[in-house]
Amino acid sequence: MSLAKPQMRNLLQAAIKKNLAITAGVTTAAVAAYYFLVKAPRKQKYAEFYKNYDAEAEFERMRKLGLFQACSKDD
Amino acid sequence: MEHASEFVTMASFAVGSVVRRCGRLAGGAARLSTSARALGGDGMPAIIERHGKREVIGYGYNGQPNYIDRVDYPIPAVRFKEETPQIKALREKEKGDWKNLTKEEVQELYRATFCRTFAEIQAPTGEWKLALGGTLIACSLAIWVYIWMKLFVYDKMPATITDPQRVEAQVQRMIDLRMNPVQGVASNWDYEKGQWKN
Repeated sequence: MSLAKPQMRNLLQAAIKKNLAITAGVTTAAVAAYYFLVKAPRKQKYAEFYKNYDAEAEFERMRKLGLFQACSKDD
Repeated sequence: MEHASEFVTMASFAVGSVVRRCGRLAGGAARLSTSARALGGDGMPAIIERHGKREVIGYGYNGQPNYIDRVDYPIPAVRFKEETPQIKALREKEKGDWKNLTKEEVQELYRATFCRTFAEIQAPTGEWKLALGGTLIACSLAIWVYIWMKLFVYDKMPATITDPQRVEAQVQRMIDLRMNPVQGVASNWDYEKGQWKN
């Protein structure tokens, strides 16, 4: 027969509170997604790479291939 | 594009009929021409510019004696319709107990002062379909222009990046120098086996 009485007062405050809640939720979700999908795997990959990385051996390998301009190929 | 405008007209038919009625009735009795640009929808104003014999009832949103449907400033400067003897009688009755007013009388009093109800003002217009359709059409035109440019304007790509021998030599150098070994090119090369990973 008749509609429910609409909210008459504090419309802006109610809207602000709702928007703040939505903002908090969405930003938390976005940051969590970035952390778990991007940051953590990248950190893991770097850790794995540098665990058994021998810089001197890599340098010698590249030098012997003749890829450096300042270091000579021969021993 | 035609379908979009069809949908817009169909979706806004209810609002549009009310708005057209509002525009016609308000300008009908007066001698002067009230320019009624009534567009409807939330945020888009329905403005009647000259107020004729309509009663001024307040300051309005900018001090001018205009009528406008605004959700954020709901009380206009002038009444919507000019005063008729029936409305005058109803206003007298309104000064008494409101329980004596019938539903039709209340609605008539409302429509004498206002053009649309809040529900009608905030009703969806379907304008977003037109906007989205127009945007996508513009994007597709841009892509057509790019295709034309690629076919008729741009030179061929240089041999340094298209010649397969040169590309292979460049990638080999990247692997030898271990460029971007964690997430880039060299990370996909298996150094023990001397081949690409999976």
